[in-house]
Order: sequence, then C-alpha cells, then structure tokens
Amino acid sequence: MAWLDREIVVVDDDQGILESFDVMLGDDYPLVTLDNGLEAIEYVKSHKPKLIFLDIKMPGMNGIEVLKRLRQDKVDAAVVIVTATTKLHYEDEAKELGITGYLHKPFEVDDVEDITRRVLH
Amino acid sequence: MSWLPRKIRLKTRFMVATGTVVLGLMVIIIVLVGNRSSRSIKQEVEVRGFAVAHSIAAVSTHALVTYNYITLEQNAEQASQGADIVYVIILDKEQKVAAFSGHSGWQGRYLDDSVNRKALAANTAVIQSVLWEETGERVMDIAVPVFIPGSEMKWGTVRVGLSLERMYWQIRRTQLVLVGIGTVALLLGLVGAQVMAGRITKPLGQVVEATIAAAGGDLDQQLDIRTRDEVEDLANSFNTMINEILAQRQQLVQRLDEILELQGYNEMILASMTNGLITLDLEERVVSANGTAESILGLEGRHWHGTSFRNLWPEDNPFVRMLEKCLHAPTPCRNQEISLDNGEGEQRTLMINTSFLEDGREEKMGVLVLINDITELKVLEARMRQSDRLAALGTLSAGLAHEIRNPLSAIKTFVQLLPRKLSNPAFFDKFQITVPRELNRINDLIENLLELARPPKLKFKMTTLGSCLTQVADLYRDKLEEAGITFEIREEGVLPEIWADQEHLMRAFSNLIMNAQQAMVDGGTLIIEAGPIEGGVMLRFKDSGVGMEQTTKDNIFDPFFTTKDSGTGLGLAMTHKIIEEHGGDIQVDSAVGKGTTFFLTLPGVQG
Repeated sequence: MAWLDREIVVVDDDQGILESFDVMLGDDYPLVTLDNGLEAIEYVKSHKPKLIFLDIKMPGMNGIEVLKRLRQDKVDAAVVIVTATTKLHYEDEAKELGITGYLHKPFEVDDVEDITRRVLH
Repeated sequence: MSWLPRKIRLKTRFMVATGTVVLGLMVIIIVLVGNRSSRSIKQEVEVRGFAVAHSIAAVSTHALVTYNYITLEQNAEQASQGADIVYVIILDKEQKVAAFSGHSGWQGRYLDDSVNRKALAANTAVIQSVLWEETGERVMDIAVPVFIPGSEMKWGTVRVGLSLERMYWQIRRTQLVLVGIGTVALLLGLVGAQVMAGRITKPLGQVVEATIAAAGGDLDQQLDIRTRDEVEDLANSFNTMINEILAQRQQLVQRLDEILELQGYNEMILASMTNGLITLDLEERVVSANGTAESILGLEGRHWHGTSFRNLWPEDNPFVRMLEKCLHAPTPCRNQEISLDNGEGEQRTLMINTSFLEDGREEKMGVLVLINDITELKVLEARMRQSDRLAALGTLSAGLAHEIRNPLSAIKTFVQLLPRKLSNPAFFDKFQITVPRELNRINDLIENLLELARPPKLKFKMTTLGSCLTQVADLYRDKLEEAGITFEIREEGVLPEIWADQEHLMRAFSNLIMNAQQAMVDGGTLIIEAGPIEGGVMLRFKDSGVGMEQTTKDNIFDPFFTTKDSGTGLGLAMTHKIIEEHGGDIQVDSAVGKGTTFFLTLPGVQG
C-alpha cells in the first residue's frame, strides 16, 4: 500500500492529544492533526484519508456533527471516536453513522496502534 | 263629627246628596207655591168681601139717609145668607148699630171694640182680621164707609165678616197636594239616584275590589270596564299599574334567583378552596371561616362564629401571635410563614397573607386572612434543593473528568512510549515540553477547584472601584478591540470606596469580560456601567452577544457548567464566589439573541 493511502487524520481541540497521536503514529504513518471540525471536513473531503480519530467535545462543531457531515458527503473513511466522557450518550447516533471503534481517554498506546493496524493493513 | 261612621259607602253618600237636593228643592217649591196660592186665595176673598160690602152699601144708602132701619135689617139679613158670610153689620151716621144679621136685638147699640172703632174712624175701606168668638172662626172684617155722591158727609159704615176657614182649608189642601207631589218626587229622585249611583259606583266597586285583592297579594287582576268616563281611565291606569307591578315582581324574582345563585356559587368557591380563608372584624371576632380553614386551624365542630380569636386558641399559639401582629397593622401582612401543630402532633407550615376588608366608603371593616398550607411544598423544595445539589455534583464530576482526562491521556501516551523511544531525541524534546505542560494543566485545575472550595482568605483593604475597573480595562482593551468588540466603561456619579480584595475583585471582573468576549465571536459591544446606590455600588456588565437560554441562566454559576466546548466552566463560579465573599450579589439577565447583562452590587464601607 502506498504511503499516502495510509493517511490518518486526528481531529481534537486539545493540543496535548494531538501531540500524543503525533508521537504514537507520526513516525509510521502520514499523520495530519487538525484542531477543529470545519477544517477537518474540508481536509477529509479533499484528501480522502483511510482513518480518522475524532474527538467529540470541540468548540464550534462537535465530533458527531463532523461525522454526520462526512457521511452525508459519502466519505467512507473509518472513524474512531476519541472521548473523555465515560458514557457515550450519543453512542446510538454514532453507531448509526458507522464507526469503527471508541477510544476512552486516557487511552492505551497499544489500543491506538492495534486499531490503526486493523484498519490500515 | 265623631258621630259619623268612619266609612260611608259612596252609594249612600250619593243618595243622601241627591235626596237632600231634591228635598231642598221641594221645600222651596212648596213654600213658594203655597205662599202664592195663599195670597191669591186671600185676594179673592178680599175682592169678594169688598164686592159684597159695596153692594150692601149701595142698596142701603137711601135707607141710612132716611133712617129706615127695617130695610137696613132686611138688607143685612139677606146679604148674610151668602156663602162664607159670617155677619153683616150696618152702622148709622151716629155710629150705632142700625142692623146686625142674626142679632136684631143689638139695634141702637154702640159697639165699643177696637175693630169697630177702627172701622168707624176710617173714611176709606178697612180690612181687619177678627176671631169671631161665637163660632170660633177666623174672620176677615171688611168695612166700607157710605157716602152720598157729591157730598163729604159720611152717612154710615157697612161691615161684612167673611169666614176665612174655607180659605185656610183651601190653602192647606194646596199645601198637602204640594207635599204629596214633593214626596213622590223625592221618592222618584231617591230611586233614580240609587239607580244612577249604582251605575256609577258599580265599576268603581270593581276597581275597589280589584285594588283590595291586589293589596292582599293577588296580582292576577285585570279590569274590563267600558264606561267611557274617568272610571274607565282609572281602570286602565289600574291595569297598567298591575302590569308594571307584575313586571317588576318578575324582575325582582329573577334578581333574587341570580343573587341566590351567586351566593351559592360564592359559597361553593369558598368551600372548594384548598386555601384556608378566615375573616375577622375589628373587634377581633371570627366572622367566617371556610372548611379548609376550619380543618387547618382545628375549628371543626367548635362554635367559632362571633368568638374572639383569643378565646379559640391558647395565647402562645403561633397563629394567634400572627393575628395580633397583622390585625391592627397599618399594611397587610404578606407571605408570613408560621409552623402550627395540626392537633395530631404533626407540624404544618402555613403561609399567611392578610388583606383589609373595606366597605363601600373605604372604611376598614375587618381583615381577611388567607392560609396556605405549604408543608408539602416545603418538603418538595427541600427535595429539589437536594436534587439540584446532586445535579451540580454530577456536572462538576463530569467536567472534572473531562478536564483531567485530556492532559492525562497525553501524559499516559508519552510515559507508555518512553521505553520504546528512549533513544529518540525528537521524542525526548517533545516529552519535555508536553508532559510538564499537561501536568501543570492538571495542577492548575486542582488549584482552581481548591480555590473554589477554600474558605475565604481575602486581603481586604479600602479600594476604589474606579481604579479596579481601569486596571482590568487596560488588561483587556487591546484584546477586545482585536476581536471587534467596542469596549466602554461608564462611571456615573461619585463611586464610594469599598472594602475589598482588589486582586480577587479584578479576577472576578476579568472572568465577566472574558465571558462577554466569548459570547461575541463576531464582535459587538461591551459596556461596563458603575454607579453609587444606597449602601454601596452597582455594576453592570452588558454585552451584545448571543445570550443564553433559561436552563443556562439557572446554572450559569455552577462549577464546570459550560456551554462552550472549551474552558473549564469554573470562571463564573469563581466570580460568583468572590462577589459573595465581598458581601455583594450577582444576578444575570439574558435572552437568546439579545445579549447578556450581569448585575453586581457591592457594599460600601459601613459608617
């Protein structure tokens, strides 16, 4: 698989989270980190990444909204919800929109790497 | 006129009046006609008397001149045979009796009675009334002197006595006839009067009967009288009056029904009220109490009406103390809460409101006491406060979890990767930046939380609010202008000094300014107004931002409550705490799309 076919996008408003994904995956995959939903939609639509790590609680547009817009625009990338909330009250909605998995903060490095491998290999 | 009966029937009056009039008329007619006929009978007698006397004188003149007594006596006897002639006396020139009918022996006598003297003395005819003693008759004595024509020598006097008895009998008969006619006329008049009176008084009687019946309450009276006179008018007026009375009675009955219905309705309202209602007059007596009041105040089955409230409950009863306070207060009592034993050992919380009962002239008549049993409401309120606290705790926990998990995730990632990437200098650089920063974030969070929970430890000193505001404004002016926000501070009047911790106060103000800025992402206006009020200062932070919904407004000062997807939700909680620690108050007014205004008050320096 070509290098760019394995592109991963991480969307989170928290600088620490973006930096964490960068050190976990940045050396092995083409990784783009974005801190807001609108930018993410634009980027995903144009670059068609295979995997998106999506935070829920973000200023402006939250993760569920971003996911909804992406699905409306027929983006079929694998989406992993990354959330600090213990219980997902938007779980049903997210499931209907098609997601690959959840990661609860604070997540395990192994879990991130596993899910990435599962999607991209 | 006390002998008259109090009531004389109209018919009787009419007949008496008619009878009197007829009787009077008859009397006048009888008197007039009687007099006239008496006079004419008398005249007739006189004329006849004179005729007889003159004819005797005529035939006796020669005998008198010649003193032929025999002829004179014959003349007298002959003349006295005439009807009603009682006597004929012929007196000679010497005034002695020459002839006296029926009394031949009296010739040559001198008659010395007053009648004879008067007859002899006169030179003209004389008429005199005489009572003829021999027969007891009333007699008209007519005397005529005898003269020879052409001589003034009186040769004698002829006296004729005419009986008046027949004349009187005639007069009496005439009078009797008149009286008879008068009696018949009177009787006819009375009968006619009775008939007429009957015709007039009969319809009147109908009116009277109908009036009496109507006065007795039987208003079903209609008169049909066609007399074409005032009685018909009276009957029509009576009918109109009865109809009006009936209409008015109908109206009254209707009004009474309405009043009764309203009364019933009012009683029903009072009975169905879940609030207790009791009224007292100014003499402290209970005038009315509805069922709920009876039940709440333990009055059921007791005689309370007209009883002083002091006699209904013990002196130390909280309701009695409340009434003492409110009954004579100049203004009504509002929302007074008392706790009252319901008689079964259970305490009920009652809210008391009073209002004054006034009559139409705004004179105070008494007091109306409204009793609201708010025991259940109080329990509910307590439960709600409990659940509010739990909800706030939930928000706080969720917020805290979210705020800690982000930095925790970063630290965890770096720590987990550390063994693998020990030899990677780039990783190490990032580690040294990220991990301490994220640790600090957690620490700051804990610091802020502790600050919120910490008992006040402020350094108060005399502070000028103006300088506080100026310093905060200097800190934020550039930042706000960059965000397209017009920023203005307006100070009205002289701001008094306040007793405050300037550093904390500035922090509180900063939070409000930041909050306003975040509500105006597309720019706007922020105006801070400050002015003196009684006992302190007032501040107003007014932005033209997005505003907030009611639920947001209700929770705006709760820790970790935030509508923003960034920020800890601790800023306004902190502001609230600081203002309260200064003995002040903070309120928020906001509507979606209309902006938000925070109202603050801070107490001035006492004394």
